[in-house]
Amino acid sequence: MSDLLRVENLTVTVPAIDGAVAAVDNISFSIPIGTKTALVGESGSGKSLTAFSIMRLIDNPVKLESGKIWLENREISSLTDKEFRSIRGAEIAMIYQDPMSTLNPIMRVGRQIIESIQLYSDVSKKAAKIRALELLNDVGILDPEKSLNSYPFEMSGGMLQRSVIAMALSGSPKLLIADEATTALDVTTQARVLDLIDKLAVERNLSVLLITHDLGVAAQFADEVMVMYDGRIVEKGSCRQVFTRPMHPYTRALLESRCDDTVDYSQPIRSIPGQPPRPALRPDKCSFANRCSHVRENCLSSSPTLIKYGSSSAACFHSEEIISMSEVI
Amino acid sequence: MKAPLISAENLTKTFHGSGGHVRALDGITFSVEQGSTLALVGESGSGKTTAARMVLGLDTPDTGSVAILGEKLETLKSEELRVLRRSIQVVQQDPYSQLNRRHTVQRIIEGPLIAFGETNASIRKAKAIELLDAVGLERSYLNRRPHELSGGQCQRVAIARALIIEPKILVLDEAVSALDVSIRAQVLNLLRLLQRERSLTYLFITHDLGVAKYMADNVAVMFRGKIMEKGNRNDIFKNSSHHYTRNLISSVPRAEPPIQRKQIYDIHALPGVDEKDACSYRSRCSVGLQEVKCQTEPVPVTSGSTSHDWLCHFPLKNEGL
Repeated sequence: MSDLLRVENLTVTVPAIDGAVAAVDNISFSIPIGTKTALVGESGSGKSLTAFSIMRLIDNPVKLESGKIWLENREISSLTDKEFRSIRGAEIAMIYQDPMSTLNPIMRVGRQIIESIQLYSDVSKKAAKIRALELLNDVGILDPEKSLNSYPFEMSGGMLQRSVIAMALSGSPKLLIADEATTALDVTTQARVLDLIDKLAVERNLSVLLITHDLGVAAQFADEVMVMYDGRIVEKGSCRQVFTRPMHPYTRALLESRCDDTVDYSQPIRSIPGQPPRPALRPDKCSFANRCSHVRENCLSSSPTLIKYGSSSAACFHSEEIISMSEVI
Repeated sequence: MKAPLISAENLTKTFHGSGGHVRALDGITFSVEQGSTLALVGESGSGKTTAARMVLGLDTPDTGSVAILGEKLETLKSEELRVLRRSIQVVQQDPYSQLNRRHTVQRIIEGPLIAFGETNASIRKAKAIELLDAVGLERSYLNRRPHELSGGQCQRVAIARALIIEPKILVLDEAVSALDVSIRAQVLNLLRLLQRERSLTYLFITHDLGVAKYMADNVAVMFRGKIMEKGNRNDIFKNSSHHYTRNLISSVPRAEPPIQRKQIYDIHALPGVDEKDACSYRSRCSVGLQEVKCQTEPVPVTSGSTSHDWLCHFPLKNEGL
């Protein structure tokens, strides 16, 4: 399968007191055409910065230090800002956590969708309106005509996120980046919106990069999963592999510390001690070492890189040990 | 039987706004026994936080009454209410905004002691250190300010502050919702430990069914100002009778790859309907949309056992989840 998006050696720095630190540290990954990939991590792990870098939405003092990005064999990281405008929104669209702040609160939803349709294609206002109604219908809004004439404050969170998705689709993108797009929604609404994105992805052969802190959302939605910690991808693989046979101690610990409806309440949840690190100058050691229950000497003297095991990879010196723990279960 | 520490009787509350009236609470009744946890769960707008505010005496119900430690709040004068507040404290959702960012951690934790007239600074400090220790923070945190803390640490400080005047009841309003997975587990474990050590009574407000299952002995599922189903952990998670409960539980994304796509029980994106003589959930319910009874007849409370009751004309058969 050919790749839709390929990111190579992406490093993004943010200024700090003692010089710039890499909040995204030399990460590489690719998204094959038509797949749904989840990027999972805790706050501060660099997952949103990765998305913003792909969309080229970062600005001083945050800096794209190095890295190349290809969209279908075309290197988009070397485009000028002006050239990039034909990519952003049109070929890669993004939706965010808070639909209320994505939309202009004093403009009717319809006008905003029509505006974005006209931005990406040269059509009359009348044709754009018909297209907007189609899009609203596609995202499961029951009364598109009414929604077209509504203001954002008149709609519920789920309806708003659907409208935002309709807007994101207006340029017929190939890649949809959803940055915590269902986090602010109620569970029932979340389930429906995830279903919708799933359906749209199949119908339109759309690839999706889903950014989430919620392991459950990733497990239910994605084909491929990448786990980020402290600016690096520490594990990636198929959804089944990552969730049933994790290879990195962080992934395993995250899975153990989850609290969903399968939780065993008779004993304490196995939590991860300590705090996620803040972006800082990295000493030459594994950045998970101080929270890891499998830490050894070599973890403290050098930093592991992603090593391939079968179709997946993990950045840990002791992956085999972690894998064997799953086999016991 | 022991008298419950919190008892709310038939609370109603309607908010009047320019856009019409919102019945935030529509006759809810619940009680919490000493040392136990009741979770109020539901989607946003279901009235969970309004109910919590009534229990805290921050808002008064239109009808109905709340009794804390057997004392009816509406009969208390403001000074008596203040004294009662020693027994009931709150931890809120946003780790940062609930702490005064100009104060040090020490000042924040000592706050309730100062408010209740403890003038001896060394006693206050000793207490603050004791509480910091209890929530798992080192003494060196005393001089820090909220901006120097992570979300989880802020939440620990908020818990320490709430506990320093030795309350009997803690109202936890989405207290772990803003935390990362690994930190959330730490704070949940801490809360369970503190409850055991101090035999605290928790009113736990959450939208997260997984967290409710972990924390709560009893669960009340709210929808549009009503308690649709109420029961102990087993009643709710193993033998749920209300379609809404089942729908909520099945919507929780599990962190395991799906064997097959989960069925979504909830079939409509419509908001609930607001008519007195009908089930308010019927427009989202696969049964309620078809049955005339759900549209015309008021739903009575049905009891399945002493602990378990629900509001539904056509409860689910309990084949388990």
